[in-house]
Amino acid sequence: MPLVYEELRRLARSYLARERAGHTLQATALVHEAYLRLADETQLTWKDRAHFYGVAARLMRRILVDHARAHNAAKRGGLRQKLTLEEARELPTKSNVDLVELNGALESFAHDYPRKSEVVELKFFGGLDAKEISEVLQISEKTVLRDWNFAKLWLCRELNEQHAA
Amino acid sequence: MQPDRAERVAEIVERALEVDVGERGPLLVDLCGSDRELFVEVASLLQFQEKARDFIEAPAVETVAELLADERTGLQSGDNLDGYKIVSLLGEGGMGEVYLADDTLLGRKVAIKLLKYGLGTTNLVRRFHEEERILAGLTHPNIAQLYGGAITVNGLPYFVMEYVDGKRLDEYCRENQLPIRERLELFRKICAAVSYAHKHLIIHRDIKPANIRVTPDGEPKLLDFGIARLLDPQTSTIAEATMTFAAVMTPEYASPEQVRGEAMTTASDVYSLGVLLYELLTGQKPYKIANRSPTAVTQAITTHEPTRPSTAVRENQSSEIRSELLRGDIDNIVLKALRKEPERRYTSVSQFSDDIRRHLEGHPVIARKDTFNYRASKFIRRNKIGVAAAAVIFLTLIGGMVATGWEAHRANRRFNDVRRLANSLMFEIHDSVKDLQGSTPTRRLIVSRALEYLDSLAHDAGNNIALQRELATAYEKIGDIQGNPYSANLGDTNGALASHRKALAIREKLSTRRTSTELQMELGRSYRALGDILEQKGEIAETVRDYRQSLSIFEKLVAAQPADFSVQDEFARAYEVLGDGLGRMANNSTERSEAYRKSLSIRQDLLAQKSSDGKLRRSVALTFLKVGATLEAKNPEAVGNIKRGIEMLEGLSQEDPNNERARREVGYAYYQLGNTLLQKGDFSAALDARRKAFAIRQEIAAEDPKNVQAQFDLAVAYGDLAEALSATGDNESALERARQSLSMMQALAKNDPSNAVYQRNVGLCYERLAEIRARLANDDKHSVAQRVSDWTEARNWYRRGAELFSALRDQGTLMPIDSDRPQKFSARVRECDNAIAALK
Repeated sequence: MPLVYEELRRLARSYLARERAGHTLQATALVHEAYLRLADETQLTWKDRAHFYGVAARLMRRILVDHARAHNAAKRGGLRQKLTLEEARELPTKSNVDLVELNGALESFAHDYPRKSEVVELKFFGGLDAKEISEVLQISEKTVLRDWNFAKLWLCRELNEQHAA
Repeated sequence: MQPDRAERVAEIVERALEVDVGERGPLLVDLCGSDRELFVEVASLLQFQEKARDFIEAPAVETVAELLADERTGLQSGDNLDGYKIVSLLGEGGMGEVYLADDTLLGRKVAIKLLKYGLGTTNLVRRFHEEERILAGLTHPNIAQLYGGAITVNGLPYFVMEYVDGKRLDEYCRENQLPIRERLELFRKICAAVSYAHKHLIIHRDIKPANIRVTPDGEPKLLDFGIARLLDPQTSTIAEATMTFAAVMTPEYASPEQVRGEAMTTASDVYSLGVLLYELLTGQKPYKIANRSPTAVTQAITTHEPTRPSTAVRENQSSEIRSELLRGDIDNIVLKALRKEPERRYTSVSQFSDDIRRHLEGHPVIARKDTFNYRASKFIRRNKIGVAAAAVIFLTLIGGMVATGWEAHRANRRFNDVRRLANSLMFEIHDSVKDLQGSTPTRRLIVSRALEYLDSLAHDAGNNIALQRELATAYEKIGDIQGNPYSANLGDTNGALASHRKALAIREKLSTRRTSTELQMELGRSYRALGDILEQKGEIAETVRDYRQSLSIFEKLVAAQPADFSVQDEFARAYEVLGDGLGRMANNSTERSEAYRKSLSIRQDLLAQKSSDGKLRRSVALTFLKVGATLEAKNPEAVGNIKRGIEMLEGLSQEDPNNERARREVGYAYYQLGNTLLQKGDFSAALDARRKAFAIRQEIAAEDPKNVQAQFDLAVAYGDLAEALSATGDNESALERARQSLSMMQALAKNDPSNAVYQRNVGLCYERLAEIRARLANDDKHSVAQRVSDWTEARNWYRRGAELFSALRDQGTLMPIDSDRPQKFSARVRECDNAIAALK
């Protein structure tokens, strides 16, 4: 979705510019801003909006993962390097999570836990908060948090196992 | 894992997370029991609790924001890419970057398009090479040549293309202020290139101004077959992703089938070319898309009807293109290319281009205005719920909005909203419901609402000339809906009169404020429209007065600008209309035929300047007919003029054999010739003429049995033939034809019971049958019994006629020209009774 992509990239630049200038801006706002700019929210009913966020998150996931894939390819000359054990032990942490790997792990996770994987998609890729997710998925906020915590454990273990292997 | 097993794992983990670490051991033992595997699974997850604490808590976008922000595949000036030396970055698009480079081997400049995305699989790499080979085979002067393609060491594919040093198509047109004709010629070259590619089974899929450059010597070059796909259906599956890609990338140029993700064909390129042409001519996009959300875009492209180019130009104050130049042919051509259904567009790009050529040469084009029935039926199909009901709901909603919002928000924006609303009410909603049965109350409501808006707008438009003009146009449109005698209307002649008078008042005021040809022309037309309505009311003296007023306005304009084609054109029309109006008065035939003659002579002068203008030739031909028809039948010029008209119409029809309207008009002309010959008393020649008219109509009707208009024409032609046969004394054959005419007309009326025109014509058939019977009854060579029987038949037909026209009068659908028919027929019934009594 290059249109979205372009918009996102433009917003990312201004986001960083604002941040560097000392204005803090919630990261999730970026995602919201990008989408609200592309779809006039006021024209959507709530049901549409829930659906819309779902689609938005999925789209976002695709864009970001595609981007990461292209970036990885460029950086590594198209070859996947094996990480050293030390590096693997460091992974995964906040800043250097590999979106391509995470995406793969999330796909496996979705096989056993479809709803929980949606929660991850909406939160991590879509930037929604628990309340919003609860509305999109029609589940309680508490359930959202439980799903999220479980998913993190599962995904963390999965990525760890991959790196160890 | 089994689903309930997975659930169980999650459940235990979640419960464990809720208790302190110290309490977890006993809890797990308790919950897992002897299921050791379950225990191991749960424990191995909980082990990551610490590590997972911050894991993916920051949204993904944050991780990549930095990368996103300054991402560039990043070739620098001076870089060497497989023997191409990068000179500079030319541009950046959704899919990649374009560089200017030197081909060091061949010593030429090339453009390199580097894609952002790598080709993951070997399958895609193979396809890339296949495609690159095929595209490199396209060699056409208006297509930027693809020299080749390869993949960088980083896995990113790139194309090497002919470097075109030129302006973007739209900029080129704008900067050189290219006149319409040259824009059309330029466009035809683009068509030639696309058509060439189609012949090689390649569709472009992404035609837009940015992809077309014009070289300094004026040659357009089509760039970027980067997303073109082969037409070969076997390879089309991989194309899916690319298609939606393209649709989102440049949604304005995507066809309805493209945004729906359906298969694309050459017709999709026809559509995109249509959008391109639209933009070249109007400077605007065919749809006003409020935002670029996928839903809004898809909705607009798949359901909205594009604004007619001439209307778009008229509404745009800053447009330098004159609306009149687009009205008619160009409107029809562009809209035909933009039809939602691929099969209703031009069948090929070359057919599209040929139609433009025909227009440029002044020949009739094959594009037709979308028929009303078609649009209405489509609207109904799209909106399965009661259309009329929906319209009412809509009206209620906006009614409230206007009432509450009006005074408070006099800001320009609100003003424009209401303006748009009023326009959409009249031009879209009304037109969509007008042919539906039972829609009359809704249409009345639409009209009264629209009038409310307009009156409030009139109040707020102040001294803004452009707005005042728009208001006048809107009042005229409303007036037409209320009672335009030449189209379906609400029959509210008084309302129509009031609306047209409002329009006229605005136009009068404007014309005193500024001297402009445009404003004066509008004023002249406004008087003419008012005259049309007055004629409908039977106020013939006022009609003629307004027609004369209109004529005198155009006369002054002509004196000031004798060389202006459109002024002369209107001047000729004003004379013609005056002639028509005078035709409704008694004792006027000299002035009347004089008016037609003037109209004819102006049109002939115009034709001398523009001898290939098909429309002009047509109007000259039709004026010949009118001149001929108004002269005394005995005057040899009468038949002479009609024959010249026929000759011209036949010429037009032969040049464009598919043009049904042209053939219809030839048929009409022969009918007219028959009329004059009948009056002259030359019955056998009249019969010949009527036979010719009949043959033409029969042919047209046979070609398309579903064409109701053609059926109607044929039914009328049967009656006309009967008239001529009866005049030659062959009343038996006449009776036969008249019966056929009646039965066809009855079938039409049965099919469309609310159509007053059919009803009326059924009545006219009764009259004809009665007249023929009466003639037979008057023949004293027949037996008394036979004559009594014929009188009785005649009487019965007259009686049925009297009943029918009385019923029309009671329904309020009696036409003014028929107003005396109920009485006349009743009188005839009595005459028949008297004749029967006399014979007995």
